[in-house]
Amino acid sequence: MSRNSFWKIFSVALVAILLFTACSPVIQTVTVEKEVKVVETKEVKVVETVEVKVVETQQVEVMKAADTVLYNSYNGDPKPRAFDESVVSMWNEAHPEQPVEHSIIAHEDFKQAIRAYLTADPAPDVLTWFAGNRARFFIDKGLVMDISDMWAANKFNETYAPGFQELASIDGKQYFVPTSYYWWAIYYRPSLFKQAGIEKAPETFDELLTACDKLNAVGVTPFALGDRFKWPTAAWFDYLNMRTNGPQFHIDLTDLKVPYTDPKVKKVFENWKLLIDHKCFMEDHAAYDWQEAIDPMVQGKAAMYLMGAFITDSYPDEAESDLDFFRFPIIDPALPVGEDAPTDGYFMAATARNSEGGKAFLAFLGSKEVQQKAFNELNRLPTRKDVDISAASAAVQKGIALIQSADYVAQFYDRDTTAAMAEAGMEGFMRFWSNPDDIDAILADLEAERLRLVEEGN
Amino acid sequence: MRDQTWDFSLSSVFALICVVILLFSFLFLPWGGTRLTDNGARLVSDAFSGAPGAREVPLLWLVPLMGSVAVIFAMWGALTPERSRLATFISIGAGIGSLVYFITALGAPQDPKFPLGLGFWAAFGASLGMIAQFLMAMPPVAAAWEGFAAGTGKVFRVPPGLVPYLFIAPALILYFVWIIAPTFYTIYLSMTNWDGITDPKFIGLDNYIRLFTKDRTFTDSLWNNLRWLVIFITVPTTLGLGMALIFNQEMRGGKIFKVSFYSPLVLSLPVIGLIWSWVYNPSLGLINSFLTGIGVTDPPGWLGDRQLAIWCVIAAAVWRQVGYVMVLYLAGLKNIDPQLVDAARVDGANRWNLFKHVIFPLLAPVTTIIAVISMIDSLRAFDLVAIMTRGGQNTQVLANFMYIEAFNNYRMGYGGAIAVVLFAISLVFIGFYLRQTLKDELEY
Repeated sequence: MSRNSFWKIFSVALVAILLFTACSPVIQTVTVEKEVKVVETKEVKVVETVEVKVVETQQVEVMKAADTVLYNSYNGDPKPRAFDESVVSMWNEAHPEQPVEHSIIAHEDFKQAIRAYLTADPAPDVLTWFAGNRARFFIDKGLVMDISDMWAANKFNETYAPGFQELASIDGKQYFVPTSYYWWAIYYRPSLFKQAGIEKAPETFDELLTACDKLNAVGVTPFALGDRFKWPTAAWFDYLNMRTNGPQFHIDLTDLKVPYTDPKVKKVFENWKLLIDHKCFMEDHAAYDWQEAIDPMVQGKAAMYLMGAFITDSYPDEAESDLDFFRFPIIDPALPVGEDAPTDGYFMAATARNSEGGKAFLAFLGSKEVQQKAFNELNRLPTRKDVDISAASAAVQKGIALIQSADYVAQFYDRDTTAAMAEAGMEGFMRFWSNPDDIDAILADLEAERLRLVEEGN
Repeated sequence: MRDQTWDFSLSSVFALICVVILLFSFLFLPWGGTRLTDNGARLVSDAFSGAPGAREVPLLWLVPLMGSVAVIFAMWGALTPERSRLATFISIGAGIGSLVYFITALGAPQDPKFPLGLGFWAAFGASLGMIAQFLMAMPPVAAAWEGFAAGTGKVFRVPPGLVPYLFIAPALILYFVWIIAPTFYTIYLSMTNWDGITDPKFIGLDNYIRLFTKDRTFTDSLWNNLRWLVIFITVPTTLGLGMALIFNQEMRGGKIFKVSFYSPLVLSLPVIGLIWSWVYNPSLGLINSFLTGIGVTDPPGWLGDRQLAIWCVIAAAVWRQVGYVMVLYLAGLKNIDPQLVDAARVDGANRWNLFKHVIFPLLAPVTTIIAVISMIDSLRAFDLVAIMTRGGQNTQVLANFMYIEAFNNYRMGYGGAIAVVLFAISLVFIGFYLRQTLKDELEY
């Protein structure tokens, strides 16, 4: 054992020590953060002493040390991404002293990562997210920051449309800034309707079935559908349920308050089966993703597509002149009308590192300026009442009217209900497509999943 | 004479330690404030790229530059003792170079919002150490060190039997932190109802009981994995062996075939998933275009068909696996002693008997390895399902089901239970595989 081997061993040990030192700064960061929290509680307890002033200056210093705002968003697609980045650079030009650090994560990955973000300490300050049950889940667990002060200070309670204020609030406190939404409707090609001899867009279920027959007679598939990844099928369930049983039943069902074995649910699938029997849907739709199913429509092989307004992002621009949409036909005229209009927005983590800066940036994201920009550049519909929409195309005006005339606005099946129920539900709908007679067994399975979730307390 | 007493090799090792600390602090420790993301490397890259909110950090670039120079020369010095004097002087120079930055930084007015951080001070100390390394080389110090090492030599002398363990200690620590500990933690989680946010509650074997008695998707996934396993053991093995036998002979264009059958293996599984989703597209895909071209009126919907979809996904996986098996068998065939084959020929064996009694038995170890690898691969199946169907159309497999339960449905405990079941099944095959490979190793 010469000195050489001693050095070898020594360097190996050193590497091991270095590995451990990698952990130590983490621990240090945590302790510093904890000190800050202690300072804050002290500030509340002790009143008007010299000590408080000292504490305050310390606290201000710490606040200023966190002088960036961390913003994580899921706008990975090219157009929204460009918009997102330009909004951040607008902020950074106006606020060089408090720049935003922006990370964009792909949509699906973001959905997985959100829990890690919200439970991290310190967490990213501002995050993109969805309104409805998806947000409420985290708010109920105390992971989302109360932004009522920012809401009031920026007069959001005057400038936001009432329905969206409702969406932002729980028990009178605001947690979420809904900034844009889009509508769902049946998109169709008027030229193909004319070719099949359909004079006007169907308004009732019977008219829809007749339209399907007429289109089939001229060799055009009535509905395009691409549900390889399941979710486009959920729109069919949403609409058939809201039209058959009314929005309130749909809310209760997605809130897991009503059993899936309720005869009313079965009635939805009976109506659905009518559509299948009238050969309304294209063959092998489960083999295509939603964008691939646009092709038969563009080629004139299919006439309609129940889809969100984002269909126009993927629809060829030159073919859009022959693309229009109509409201999902009424089945029971006695019922109030519900529409799917998923709303996107922003919230802050309860453990946000820079809460003041985060709120300021949040106020900017919810400002008229940014919503106007989103409306002009992305056709995202504003949730504020003061955004100028007069320049909008006839289609957009029609879409806004569609949502404003609705009695109830739903967020879409996979946002209204819990993630696990959505997963099971959509799998059930897919089973229904391939074997409609199996519906009792399918609904029993869905009910089992619902009971399990109720038991789990989600 | 004097030079011989100056021990520069020792000082080079010391310099190497210092420079590693310097670079580590620069790369990974907070240079200012307490946030790890405010490390020196980030500050320099922000300053150079003009990122929004970038700080003024004059001369900070000296630190990585001098550090890189010093690390090269300190290593050179430590490895070649006869050159270590030059190396020592150069790394001392590098230490002085980076000290220029530290002196300017300390002399400049301090930003109270951004106090100098741990990384700064560690790097500052390290660069002082780099300059002080000549002390290590000074005869009295070296002699004292020498004496210290000799006098208490027993303390430093590690028992020879322990040395290998010391060397694998870093790897073992990483292995423990990343593999062993998470495995046991997953087993613990599988007995809780953890949702990823609230505190996990211990619920015993409830998750397992539900899996095996109530969960339809679990049974379906298990069946799909079994289908995958059966196909994977039989089809690619037979096809691969056949192709290996064909391409092992001298034939015109054999190389082109070999490469073309092997090439799918170069592609990543998600890419294969995408390619095959297009191949299976019912209206525009390769298969149905061909079928309609030859007059088939109602070609199947492939991935859209709940009965066919799982077989379609497995077929895509087989396409990749065949090339892999072929290459393994080709390697096995190259190892067969031609004399044995010739001897069999002389004895009058025909082709079939030659294969059955000579070649195939000699390939037995390869066959075992291939069978076990196929089993493990079929249990791991995840990527293709995730890309092609996301588990829809009755194509769910255990790995994807686990992912969905844990990360989509937020049932970490339940997902953990699926993971443990998958792990237990895999363990059987992995144990078999290890026994086989270790046996082979001992034979050679």
